[in-house]
Amino acid sequence: MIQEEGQMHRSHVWLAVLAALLLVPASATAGNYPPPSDPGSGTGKSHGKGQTLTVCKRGCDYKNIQKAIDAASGKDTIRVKKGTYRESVQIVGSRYDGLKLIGDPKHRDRVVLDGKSLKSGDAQNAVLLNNADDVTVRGFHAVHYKANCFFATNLQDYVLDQLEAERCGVYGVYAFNSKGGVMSNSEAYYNPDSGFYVGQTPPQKGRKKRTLVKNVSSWGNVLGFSGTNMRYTTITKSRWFNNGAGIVPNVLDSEKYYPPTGNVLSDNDVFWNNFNFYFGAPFKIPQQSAASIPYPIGIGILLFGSQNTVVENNRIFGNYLGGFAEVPAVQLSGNADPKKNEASILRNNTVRGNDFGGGNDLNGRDMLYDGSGSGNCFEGNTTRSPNLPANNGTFVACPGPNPNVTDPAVLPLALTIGLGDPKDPASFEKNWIKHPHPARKGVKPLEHYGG
Amino acid sequence: MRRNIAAAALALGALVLAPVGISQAVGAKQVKKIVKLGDNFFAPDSLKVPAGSKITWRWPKNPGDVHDVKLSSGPKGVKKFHSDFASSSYSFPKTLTKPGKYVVICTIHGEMSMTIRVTK
Repeated sequence: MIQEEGQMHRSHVWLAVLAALLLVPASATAGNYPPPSDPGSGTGKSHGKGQTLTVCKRGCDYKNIQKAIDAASGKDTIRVKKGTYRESVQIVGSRYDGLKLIGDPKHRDRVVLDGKSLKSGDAQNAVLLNNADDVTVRGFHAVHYKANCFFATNLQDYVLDQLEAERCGVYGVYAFNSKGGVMSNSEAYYNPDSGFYVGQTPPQKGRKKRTLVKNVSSWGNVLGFSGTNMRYTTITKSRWFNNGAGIVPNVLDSEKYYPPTGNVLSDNDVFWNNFNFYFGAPFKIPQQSAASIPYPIGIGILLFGSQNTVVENNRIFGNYLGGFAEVPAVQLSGNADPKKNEASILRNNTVRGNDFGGGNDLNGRDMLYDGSGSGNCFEGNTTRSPNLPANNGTFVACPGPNPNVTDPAVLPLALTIGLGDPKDPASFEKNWIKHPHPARKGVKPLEHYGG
Repeated sequence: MRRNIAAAALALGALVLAPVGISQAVGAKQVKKIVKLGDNFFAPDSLKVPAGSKITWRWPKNPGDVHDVKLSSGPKGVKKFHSDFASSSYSFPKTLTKPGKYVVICTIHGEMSMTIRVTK
Protein backbone atom coordinates (compact mmCIF):
# COMPACT_ATOMS: atom_id res chain seq x y z
CA MET A 1 0.00 0.00 0.00
CA ILE A 2 1.16 3.44 -0.82
CA GLN A 3 -0.12 6.37 1.13
CA GLU A 4 -2.99 8.11 -0.57
CA GLU A 5 -4.16 11.05 1.42
CA GLY A 6 -2.96 13.19 4.19
CA GLN A 7 -4.57 11.39 6.65
CA MET A 8 1.76 8.04 12.93
CA HIS A 9 6.45 6.40 20.37
CA ARG A 10 8.11 7.27 21.91
CA SER A 11 11.57 7.33 21.45
CA HIS A 12 11.15 10.52 23.27
CA VAL A 13 14.17 12.31 24.22
CA TRP A 14 14.05 16.02 23.97
CA LEU A 15 12.21 18.24 26.40
CA ALA A 16 13.62 17.11 29.68
CA VAL A 17 16.90 16.92 27.92
CA LEU A 18 16.92 20.66 27.88
CA ALA A 19 15.87 20.73 31.49
CA ALA A 20 18.56 18.23 32.27
CA LEU A 21 21.07 20.25 30.37
CA LEU A 22 20.15 23.43 32.08
CA LEU A 23 19.14 22.35 35.53
CA VAL A 24 20.17 18.91 36.61
CA PRO A 25 23.67 17.68 37.07
CA ALA A 26 23.80 14.36 35.30
CA SER A 27 24.38 11.44 37.56
CA ALA A 28 25.13 7.85 37.02
CA THR A 29 22.13 5.61 37.15
CA ALA A 30 22.87 2.86 39.57
CA GLY A 31 21.82 -0.61 38.63
CA ASN A 32 23.15 -4.03 38.01
CA TYR A 33 22.45 -4.71 34.40
CA PRO A 34 21.66 -8.29 33.60
CA PRO A 35 24.17 -9.85 31.28
CA PRO A 36 23.11 -9.45 27.68
CA SER A 37 21.88 -12.49 25.89
CA ASP A 38 24.47 -13.05 23.21
CA PRO A 39 22.86 -13.91 19.92
CA GLY A 40 25.87 -16.07 19.12
CA SER A 41 29.02 -16.00 17.16
CA GLY A 42 27.66 -17.29 13.88
CA THR A 43 26.25 -20.58 12.84
CA GLY A 44 26.30 -19.89 9.14
CA LYS A 45 23.58 -21.06 6.85
CA SER A 46 21.55 -24.13 7.40
CA HIS A 47 22.24 -26.86 4.91
CA GLY A 48 20.30 -29.73 3.49
CA LYS A 49 16.78 -30.04 2.20
CA GLY A 50 13.81 -29.84 4.42
CA GLN A 51 10.17 -30.40 3.78
CA THR A 52 7.65 -27.87 2.56
CA LEU A 53 4.58 -27.46 4.70
CA THR A 54 1.55 -25.63 3.40
CA VAL A 55 -0.98 -23.55 5.26
CA CYS A 56 -4.37 -22.43 4.00
CA LYS A 57 -7.99 -22.54 4.96
CA ARG A 58 -8.78 -25.71 2.96
CA GLY A 59 -6.72 -28.43 1.36
CA CYS A 60 -3.32 -27.72 2.89
CA ASP A 61 -1.26 -29.48 5.51
CA TYR A 62 -2.34 -26.99 8.17
CA LYS A 63 -5.04 -24.37 8.66
CA ASN A 64 -3.02 -22.44 11.17
CA ILE A 65 0.51 -21.04 10.71
CA GLN A 66 1.68 -21.76 14.25
CA LYS A 67 0.71 -25.41 13.97
CA ALA A 68 2.85 -25.69 10.87
CA ILE A 69 5.73 -24.05 12.71
CA ASP A 70 5.27 -26.41 15.65
CA ALA A 71 5.62 -29.30 13.22
CA ALA A 72 8.59 -27.80 11.37
CA SER A 73 12.31 -27.68 11.87
CA GLY A 74 14.97 -25.37 10.59
CA LYS A 75 15.43 -26.85 7.15
CA ASP A 76 11.79 -26.52 6.28
CA THR A 77 9.85 -24.04 4.26
CA ILE A 78 6.35 -23.07 5.30
CA ARG A 79 4.24 -21.66 2.51
CA VAL A 80 1.19 -19.74 3.61
CA LYS A 81 -1.49 -19.23 1.00
CA LYS A 82 -3.75 -16.25 0.70
CA GLY A 83 -6.16 -15.48 3.47
CA THR A 84 -6.46 -13.64 6.75
CA TYR A 85 -4.89 -15.39 9.71
CA ARG A 86 -5.87 -14.27 13.20
CA GLU A 87 -2.99 -15.55 15.28
CA SER A 88 0.38 -14.69 16.73
CA VAL A 89 3.24 -16.55 15.11
CA GLN A 90 6.24 -17.45 17.28
CA ILE A 91 9.47 -18.93 15.94
CA VAL A 92 11.53 -19.49 19.06
CA GLY A 93 14.67 -21.51 19.53
CA SER A 94 17.60 -22.86 17.55
CA ARG A 95 15.61 -25.80 16.20
CA TYR A 96 14.27 -23.29 13.69
CA ASP A 97 17.64 -22.09 12.40
CA GLY A 98 17.24 -21.64 8.65
CA LEU A 99 13.43 -21.80 8.55
CA LYS A 100 11.63 -19.99 5.78
CA LEU A 101 8.14 -18.62 6.35
CA ILE A 102 6.79 -17.50 3.01
CA GLY A 103 3.49 -15.79 2.25
CA ASP A 104 3.00 -14.11 -1.11
CA PRO A 105 6.04 -11.97 -1.91
CA LYS A 106 4.44 -10.49 -5.01
CA HIS A 107 1.13 -9.71 -3.33
CA ARG A 108 1.81 -9.39 0.39
CA ASP A 109 -1.65 -7.89 0.90
CA ARG A 110 -3.12 -11.30 0.14
CA VAL A 111 -1.60 -12.98 3.20
CA VAL A 112 -2.73 -11.00 6.20
CA LEU A 113 -1.99 -11.44 9.89
CA ASP A 114 -4.66 -9.55 11.79
CA GLY A 115 -4.42 -9.12 15.56
CA LYS A 116 -7.59 -7.16 16.07
CA SER A 117 -9.75 -9.87 17.64
CA LEU A 118 -6.96 -11.54 19.58
CA LYS A 119 -6.50 -11.41 23.35
CA SER A 120 -3.63 -11.21 25.81
CA GLY A 121 -0.32 -12.65 24.59
CA ASP A 122 -1.69 -13.63 21.20
CA ALA A 123 -2.54 -10.00 20.50
CA GLN A 124 1.00 -8.67 20.99
CA ASN A 125 3.21 -9.59 18.03
CA ALA A 126 2.23 -10.78 14.57
CA VAL A 127 5.54 -12.62 14.07
CA LEU A 128 8.17 -13.09 16.77
CA LEU A 129 11.61 -14.51 15.99
CA ASN A 130 13.65 -15.25 19.10
CA ASN A 131 16.92 -17.17 19.32
CA ALA A 132 16.50 -18.63 15.85
CA ASP A 133 19.21 -17.74 13.30
CA ASP A 134 19.02 -17.36 9.55
CA VAL A 135 15.22 -17.27 9.48
CA THR A 136 13.40 -15.71 6.53
CA VAL A 137 9.95 -14.13 6.77
CA ARG A 138 8.68 -12.91 3.42
CA GLY A 139 5.41 -11.78 1.90
CA PHE A 140 3.04 -10.87 4.74
CA HIS A 141 0.91 -7.94 5.78
CA ALA A 142 0.50 -7.56 9.55
CA VAL A 143 -2.00 -5.20 11.12
CA HIS A 144 -3.51 -4.35 14.50
CA TYR A 145 -1.14 -6.07 16.92
CA LYS A 146 -0.66 -4.40 20.30
CA ALA A 147 3.14 -4.54 20.39
CA ASN A 148 4.95 -5.13 17.09
CA CYS A 149 4.10 -6.28 13.63
CA PHE A 150 7.40 -8.13 12.97
CA PHE A 151 9.87 -8.61 15.84
CA ALA A 152 13.30 -10.30 15.68
CA THR A 153 15.43 -10.58 18.82
CA ASN A 154 18.47 -12.42 20.17
CA LEU A 155 19.47 -13.84 16.83
CA GLN A 156 21.48 -13.25 13.71
CA ASP A 157 21.15 -13.20 9.96
CA TYR A 158 17.41 -12.67 9.79
CA VAL A 159 15.70 -11.76 6.52
CA LEU A 160 12.53 -9.70 6.78
CA ASP A 161 11.48 -9.09 3.19
CA GLN A 162 8.37 -8.01 1.33
CA LEU A 163 6.49 -7.14 4.48
CA GLU A 164 3.83 -4.59 5.24
CA ALA A 165 3.56 -3.39 8.83
CA GLU A 166 0.46 -1.37 9.62
CA ARG A 167 -0.97 0.06 12.82
CA CYS A 168 0.86 -2.06 15.36
CA GLY A 169 1.19 -0.78 18.92
CA VAL A 170 4.88 0.11 18.98
CA TYR A 171 7.11 -0.81 16.04
CA GLY A 172 6.39 -1.95 12.53
CA VAL A 173 9.54 -3.98 11.78
CA TYR A 174 11.73 -4.35 14.86
CA ALA A 175 15.15 -5.99 15.34
CA PHE A 176 16.74 -5.97 18.79
CA ASN A 177 19.94 -7.41 20.25
CA SER A 178 20.75 -9.11 16.99
CA LYS A 179 23.75 -9.43 14.69
CA GLY A 180 23.36 -9.03 10.97
CA GLY A 181 20.11 -9.13 9.09
CA VAL A 182 18.14 -7.68 6.25
CA MET A 183 15.00 -5.58 6.18
CA SER A 184 14.08 -5.05 2.54
CA ASN A 185 11.36 -4.27 0.03
CA SER A 186 8.90 -3.48 2.80
CA GLU A 187 6.59 -0.74 4.00
CA ALA A 188 5.57 0.44 7.47
CA TYR A 189 2.94 2.99 8.34
CA TYR A 190 0.83 4.26 11.20
CA ASN A 191 2.99 2.83 13.98
CA PRO A 192 3.25 4.94 17.14
CA ASP A 193 6.97 4.52 17.68
CA SER A 194 8.88 3.85 14.50
CA GLY A 195 8.13 2.11 11.25
CA PHE A 196 11.51 0.36 11.29
CA TYR A 197 13.89 -0.12 14.22
CA VAL A 198 17.31 -1.66 14.71
CA GLY A 199 18.71 -1.38 18.21
CA GLN A 200 20.97 -2.66 20.96
CA THR A 201 23.32 -4.21 18.46
CA PRO A 202 25.96 -6.25 20.30
CA PRO A 203 29.50 -5.01 19.72
CA GLN A 204 31.58 -7.26 17.49
CA LYS A 205 35.31 -7.70 17.15
CA GLY A 206 37.04 -8.10 13.83
CA ARG A 207 34.92 -8.21 10.72
CA LYS A 208 31.45 -7.02 11.57
CA LYS A 209 28.20 -8.63 10.51
CA ARG A 210 26.26 -5.73 9.11
CA THR A 211 22.54 -5.14 9.00
CA LEU A 212 21.04 -3.89 5.75
CA VAL A 213 17.87 -1.84 5.47
CA LYS A 214 17.14 -1.42 1.78
CA ASN A 215 14.30 -0.35 -0.44
CA VAL A 216 11.77 0.25 2.29
CA SER A 217 9.13 2.94 2.70
CA SER A 218 8.19 4.33 6.07
CA TRP A 219 5.54 6.98 6.49
CA GLY A 220 2.86 8.12 8.92
CA ASN A 221 4.82 6.91 11.97
CA VAL A 222 6.11 8.93 14.91
CA LEU A 223 9.60 8.13 13.58
CA GLY A 224 10.33 6.65 10.22
CA PHE A 225 13.37 4.83 11.58
CA SER A 226 14.66 4.61 15.13
CA GLY A 227 18.04 3.12 16.01
CA THR A 228 18.72 3.14 19.73
CA ASN A 229 22.34 2.07 20.25
CA MET A 230 22.35 0.68 16.72
CA ARG A 231 25.63 -0.55 15.20
CA TYR A 232 26.93 -1.68 11.85
CA THR A 233 23.76 -0.86 9.97
CA THR A 234 23.40 0.47 6.45
CA ILE A 235 20.16 2.21 5.56
CA THR A 236 19.92 2.80 1.83
CA LYS A 237 17.74 3.36 -1.21
CA SER A 238 14.67 3.89 0.95
CA ARG A 239 11.98 6.48 1.41
CA TRP A 240 11.31 8.18 4.74
CA PHE A 241 8.45 10.65 4.53
CA ASN A 242 5.44 12.06 6.33
CA ASN A 243 6.72 10.90 9.74
CA GLY A 244 7.23 13.10 12.78
CA ALA A 245 10.94 12.70 12.11
CA GLY A 246 12.59 10.65 9.38
CA ILE A 247 15.68 8.70 10.51
CA VAL A 248 16.85 8.93 14.12
CA PRO A 249 19.86 6.94 15.34
CA ASN A 250 19.95 7.67 19.07
CA VAL A 251 21.58 6.97 22.42
CA LEU A 252 19.61 5.76 25.42
CA ASP A 253 21.08 4.21 28.53
CA SER A 254 17.89 2.25 29.08
CA GLU A 255 19.24 -0.17 26.49
CA LYS A 256 22.73 -1.68 26.24
CA TYR A 257 25.67 -1.14 23.94
CA TYR A 258 25.57 2.62 23.57
CA PRO A 259 26.49 4.58 21.56
CA PRO A 260 25.24 3.99 18.02
CA THR A 261 28.30 3.52 15.83
CA GLY A 262 29.46 2.27 12.48
CA ASN A 263 26.27 3.16 10.63
CA VAL A 264 25.77 4.37 7.08
CA LEU A 265 22.76 6.33 5.84
CA SER A 266 23.14 6.52 2.09
CA ASP A 267 21.09 7.28 -1.01
CA ASN A 268 17.75 7.74 0.75
CA ASP A 269 14.89 10.11 0.04
CA VAL A 270 14.04 11.85 3.30
CA PHE A 271 11.23 14.32 2.87
CA TRP A 272 8.13 15.94 4.31
CA ASN A 273 8.67 14.64 7.83
CA ASN A 274 6.25 17.13 9.32
CA PHE A 275 3.55 14.84 10.71
CA ASN A 276 2.36 16.49 13.90
CA PHE A 277 0.63 13.43 15.34
CA TYR A 278 -0.23 15.31 18.51
CA PHE A 279 -3.05 16.93 16.59
CA GLY A 280 -4.50 13.51 15.89
CA ALA A 281 -3.31 10.17 14.65
CA PRO A 282 -4.59 6.81 13.52
CA PHE A 283 -3.05 5.26 16.61
CA LYS A 284 -2.92 5.84 20.35
CA ILE A 285 -0.13 8.16 21.29
CA PRO A 286 1.87 6.46 24.04
CA GLN A 287 1.64 8.10 27.41
CA GLN A 288 4.67 10.04 28.37
CA SER A 289 6.65 8.79 31.30
CA ALA A 290 8.52 11.20 33.51
CA ALA A 291 11.77 10.18 31.90
CA SER A 292 10.63 10.44 28.33
CA ILE A 293 10.95 13.41 26.11
CA PRO A 294 9.17 14.00 22.83
CA TYR A 295 11.38 14.28 19.80
CA PRO A 296 11.11 17.35 17.63
CA ILE A 297 8.71 17.18 14.72
CA GLY A 298 9.65 18.35 11.28
CA ILE A 299 13.14 16.95 10.88
CA GLY A 300 14.59 14.67 8.23
CA ILE A 301 17.66 13.01 9.79
CA LEU A 302 18.60 13.47 13.44
CA LEU A 303 21.75 11.97 14.89
CA PHE A 304 20.98 12.14 18.59
CA GLY A 305 24.41 11.04 19.65
CA SER A 306 26.37 8.95 17.15
CA GLN A 307 29.91 7.89 16.36
CA ASN A 308 31.66 6.72 13.20
CA THR A 309 28.53 7.30 11.15
CA VAL A 310 28.37 8.33 7.51
CA VAL A 311 25.43 10.28 6.10
CA GLU A 312 25.96 10.55 2.37
CA ASN A 313 24.25 11.12 -0.92
CA ASN A 314 20.78 11.46 0.51
CA ARG A 315 18.10 13.69 -0.90
CA ILE A 316 16.64 15.61 2.01
CA PHE A 317 13.87 18.09 1.33
CA GLY A 318 10.65 19.65 2.55
CA ASN A 319 11.26 19.12 6.28
CA TYR A 320 10.00 22.24 8.04
CA LEU A 321 12.18 22.26 11.15
CA GLY A 322 15.34 21.08 9.48
CA GLY A 323 16.86 18.64 7.03
CA PHE A 324 19.73 17.25 9.09
CA ALA A 325 20.78 17.74 12.70
CA GLU A 326 23.68 16.29 14.65
CA VAL A 327 23.22 16.74 18.40
CA PRO A 328 25.06 15.24 21.37
CA ALA A 329 22.99 13.00 23.63
CA VAL A 330 22.75 15.72 26.19
CA GLN A 331 20.85 13.67 28.76
CA LEU A 332 24.11 11.74 29.26
CA SER A 333 26.55 14.63 28.86
CA GLY A 334 28.71 15.00 31.93
CA ASN A 335 27.42 11.73 33.39
CA ALA A 336 29.50 10.43 36.28
CA ASP A 337 29.75 7.12 34.49
CA PRO A 338 32.52 7.74 31.95
CA LYS A 339 31.03 5.25 29.47
CA LYS A 340 27.75 7.10 29.44
CA ASN A 341 29.45 10.44 29.12
CA GLU A 342 31.52 9.13 26.23
CA ALA A 343 28.41 7.75 24.56
CA SER A 344 26.88 11.20 24.53
CA ILE A 345 29.67 12.67 22.41
CA LEU A 346 29.58 13.04 18.64
CA ARG A 347 32.71 11.53 17.10
CA ASN A 348 33.95 10.89 13.61
CA ASN A 349 30.66 11.44 11.83
CA THR A 350 30.87 12.34 8.15
CA VAL A 351 28.12 14.20 6.30
CA ARG A 352 28.86 14.42 2.60
CA GLY A 353 27.30 14.63 -0.80
CA ASN A 354 23.77 15.20 0.43
CA ASP A 355 21.36 17.31 -1.55
CA PHE A 356 19.21 19.56 0.60
CA GLY A 357 16.04 21.20 -0.62
CA GLY A 358 16.27 19.93 -4.17
CA GLY A 359 13.33 20.06 -6.57
CA ASN A 360 12.42 23.47 -5.26
CA ASP A 361 11.23 21.82 -2.04
CA LEU A 362 13.15 23.62 0.64
CA ASN A 363 13.81 22.53 4.20
CA GLY A 364 13.17 25.03 6.98
CA ARG A 365 16.88 24.81 7.74
CA ASP A 366 19.30 22.50 5.98
CA MET A 367 21.98 21.46 8.49
CA LEU A 368 22.40 21.95 12.23
CA TYR A 369 25.51 21.11 14.23
CA ASP A 370 26.90 22.71 17.39
CA GLY A 371 30.52 21.81 16.68
CA SER A 372 30.91 19.54 19.71
CA GLY A 373 32.89 16.32 19.81
CA SER A 374 35.71 15.37 17.52
CA GLY A 375 36.38 14.22 14.00
CA ASN A 376 33.02 15.36 12.67
CA CYS A 377 33.08 16.77 9.15
CA PHE A 378 31.04 17.97 6.21
CA GLU A 379 31.90 17.99 2.53
CA GLY A 380 30.19 18.23 -0.82
CA ASN A 381 26.71 18.93 0.50
CA THR A 382 24.39 21.08 -1.59
CA THR A 383 22.38 23.40 0.62
CA ARG A 384 19.66 25.87 -0.32
CA SER A 385 18.36 27.05 3.05
CA PRO A 386 20.22 28.59 5.97
CA ASN A 387 22.13 26.35 8.33
CA LEU A 388 22.48 26.61 12.07
CA PRO A 389 24.80 28.25 12.84
CA ALA A 390 24.15 30.62 9.98
CA ASN A 391 27.86 31.45 9.64
CA ASN A 392 28.57 27.78 8.89
CA GLY A 393 31.42 27.91 11.37
CA THR A 394 30.91 24.38 12.64
CA PHE A 395 30.62 22.70 9.24
CA VAL A 396 34.28 21.93 8.73
CA ALA A 397 35.83 19.95 5.90
CA CYS A 398 36.96 16.34 6.16
CA PRO A 399 38.84 14.94 7.90
CA GLY A 400 37.26 16.53 10.95
CA PRO A 401 39.51 18.10 13.55
CA ASN A 402 40.15 16.73 17.01
CA PRO A 403 38.43 18.36 18.72
CA ASN A 404 35.85 20.14 16.63
CA VAL A 405 35.25 23.76 17.50
CA THR A 406 32.07 24.29 19.47
CA ASP A 407 29.77 27.22 18.95
CA PRO A 408 28.23 27.50 22.41
CA ALA A 409 25.17 29.35 21.16
CA VAL A 410 23.97 26.54 18.89
CA LEU A 411 22.98 23.70 21.22
CA PRO A 412 20.70 25.71 23.52
CA LEU A 413 19.10 27.25 20.47
CA ALA A 414 18.71 23.87 18.78
CA LEU A 415 17.06 22.35 21.82
CA THR A 416 14.79 25.34 22.13
CA ILE A 417 13.55 25.27 18.58
CA GLY A 418 12.98 21.52 18.79
CA LEU A 419 10.95 21.72 21.95
CA GLY A 420 7.26 21.15 22.13
CA ASP A 421 4.60 20.31 24.65
CA PRO A 422 2.39 17.35 23.70
CA LYS A 423 -0.51 19.09 25.42
CA ASP A 424 -0.03 22.01 23.06
CA PRO A 425 0.47 20.43 19.64
CA ALA A 426 0.96 23.77 17.94
CA SER A 427 4.07 24.30 20.06
CA PHE A 428 5.90 21.76 17.90
CA GLU A 429 5.36 23.96 14.89
CA LYS A 430 6.26 27.36 16.27
CA ASN A 431 9.78 27.23 14.86
CA TRP A 432 8.91 25.62 11.56
CA ILE A 433 9.90 27.47 8.45
CA LYS A 434 7.36 26.31 5.94
CA HIS A 435 7.72 26.25 2.21
CA PRO A 436 5.19 24.92 -0.30
CA HIS A 437 5.89 21.42 -1.58
CA PRO A 438 5.83 20.81 -5.32
CA ALA A 439 3.48 17.95 -6.20
CA ARG A 440 4.99 14.50 -5.97
CA LYS A 441 3.51 11.54 -7.78
CA GLY A 442 1.72 9.07 -5.55
CA VAL A 443 2.30 10.92 -2.30
CA LYS A 444 0.54 13.76 -0.54
CA PRO A 445 1.87 15.66 2.43
CA LEU A 446 0.72 14.52 5.86
CA GLU A 447 0.91 17.20 8.52
CA HIS A 448 -2.33 16.85 10.41
CA TYR A 449 -4.14 13.54 10.29
CA GLY A 450 -7.45 13.91 8.57
CA GLY A 451 -6.61 17.49 7.84
CA MET B 1 -14.01 -30.48 86.38
CA ARG B 2 -15.76 -28.04 84.22
CA ARG B 3 -12.39 -26.67 83.41
CA ASN B 4 -11.25 -30.18 82.55
CA ILE B 5 -14.32 -30.76 80.43
CA ALA B 6 -13.83 -27.41 78.92
CA ALA B 7 -10.17 -28.14 78.39
CA ALA B 8 -11.01 -31.57 76.94
CA ALA B 9 -13.59 -30.02 74.67
CA LEU B 10 -11.10 -27.43 73.52
CA ALA B 11 -8.50 -30.09 73.01
CA LEU B 12 -10.94 -32.23 71.06
CA GLY B 13 -12.08 -29.25 69.09
CA ALA B 14 -8.53 -28.37 68.37
CA LEU B 15 -7.83 -31.91 67.18
CA VAL B 16 -10.89 -31.94 64.96
CA LEU B 17 -10.34 -28.50 63.60
CA ALA B 18 -6.60 -28.54 63.45
CA PRO B 19 -6.17 -29.37 59.74
CA VAL B 20 -8.67 -26.75 58.76
CA GLY B 21 -7.18 -24.27 61.12
CA ILE B 22 -3.68 -24.82 59.79
CA SER B 23 -4.86 -24.56 56.22
CA GLN B 24 -6.71 -21.37 56.97
CA ALA B 25 -3.69 -19.96 58.71
CA VAL B 26 -1.50 -20.66 55.66
CA GLY B 27 -4.15 -19.32 53.30
CA ALA B 28 -4.37 -16.17 55.27
CA LYS B 29 -0.64 -15.59 54.86
CA GLN B 30 -0.59 -15.99 51.11
CA VAL B 31 -1.15 -12.78 49.26
CA LYS B 32 -1.88 -11.54 45.79
CA LYS B 33 0.28 -8.73 44.50
CA ILE B 34 0.13 -6.66 41.35
CA VAL B 35 3.34 -5.38 39.79
CA LYS B 36 2.85 -2.66 37.20
CA LEU B 37 5.14 -2.32 34.20
CA GLY B 38 5.94 1.01 32.64
CA ASP B 39 8.67 2.77 30.64
CA ASN B 40 11.06 1.62 32.07
CA PHE B 41 10.22 0.31 35.49
CA PHE B 42 8.52 -2.27 37.65
CA ALA B 43 6.34 -0.84 40.39
CA PRO B 44 7.00 -1.85 43.04
CA ASP B 45 10.54 -2.96 42.30
CA SER B 46 10.86 -5.02 45.47
CA LEU B 47 8.43 -7.29 47.28
CA LYS B 48 8.45 -9.60 50.30
CA VAL B 49 5.72 -12.21 50.25
CA PRO B 50 4.99 -15.56 51.87
CA ALA B 51 5.41 -18.75 49.88
CA GLY B 52 2.42 -19.56 47.72
CA SER B 53 1.67 -15.94 46.92
CA LYS B 54 0.49 -14.98 43.49
CA ILE B 55 2.27 -12.18 41.66
CA THR B 56 0.65 -10.69 38.59
CA TRP B 57 2.68 -8.43 36.33
CA ARG B 58 0.37 -6.05 34.58
CA TRP B 59 1.13 -4.03 31.46
CA PRO B 60 -0.61 -0.67 30.99
CA LYS B 61 -3.83 -0.32 29.06
CA ASN B 62 -2.36 2.27 26.75
CA PRO B 63 0.62 1.34 24.63
CA GLY B 64 4.08 1.98 25.90
CA ASP B 65 7.33 0.37 24.92
CA VAL B 66 7.69 -3.37 24.59
CA HIS B 67 8.60 -5.20 27.79
CA ASP B 68 8.82 -8.76 29.02
CA VAL B 69 9.11 -10.45 32.39
CA LYS B 70 11.82 -13.04 32.81
CA LEU B 71 13.06 -14.83 35.91
CA SER B 72 16.76 -14.04 35.83
CA SER B 73 17.65 -15.92 39.00
CA GLY B 74 15.70 -17.72 41.70
CA PRO B 75 15.98 -20.30 44.44
CA LYS B 76 17.73 -23.52 43.50
CA GLY B 77 15.49 -25.79 41.48
CA VAL B 78 12.81 -23.24 40.70
CA LYS B 79 11.53 -23.37 37.14
CA LYS B 80 12.44 -20.30 35.08
CA PHE B 81 9.57 -18.32 33.59
CA HIS B 82 9.34 -15.83 30.76
CA SER B 83 6.32 -13.86 29.62
CA ASP B 84 5.43 -12.77 26.13
CA PHE B 85 6.96 -9.59 24.77
CA ALA B 86 4.07 -7.20 25.24
CA SER B 87 3.15 -3.57 25.09
CA SER B 88 -0.35 -3.20 26.51
CA SER B 89 -3.44 -4.96 27.77
CA TYR B 90 -1.55 -8.00 28.96
CA SER B 91 -0.90 -9.60 32.33
CA PHE B 92 1.34 -12.42 33.45
CA PRO B 93 0.50 -14.25 36.71
CA LYS B 94 2.88 -16.54 38.62
CA THR B 95 2.48 -18.26 41.97
CA LEU B 96 5.81 -18.40 43.81
CA THR B 97 5.95 -21.45 46.05
CA LYS B 98 9.65 -21.82 46.78
CA PRO B 99 11.18 -19.57 49.45
CA GLY B 100 14.17 -17.51 48.43
CA LYS B 101 15.22 -14.54 46.35
CA TYR B 102 13.79 -14.04 42.88
CA VAL B 103 15.30 -11.53 40.48
CA VAL B 104 13.02 -10.56 37.63
CA ILE B 105 14.12 -8.52 34.62
CA CYS B 106 12.91 -7.08 31.36
CA THR B 107 15.29 -8.45 28.78
CA ILE B 108 14.92 -5.40 26.58
CA HIS B 109 15.53 -2.68 29.14
CA GLY B 110 18.52 -3.34 31.34
CA GLU B 111 17.42 -0.82 33.93
CA MET B 112 14.20 -2.76 34.55
CA SER B 113 14.84 -5.18 37.35
CA MET B 114 12.99 -6.19 40.50
CA THR B 115 13.54 -8.45 43.49
CA ILE B 116 11.00 -10.63 45.25
CA ARG B 117 11.84 -12.25 48.58
CA VAL B 118 9.62 -15.26 49.22
CA THR B 119 9.49 -16.29 52.87
CA LYS B 120 8.43 -19.63 54.39
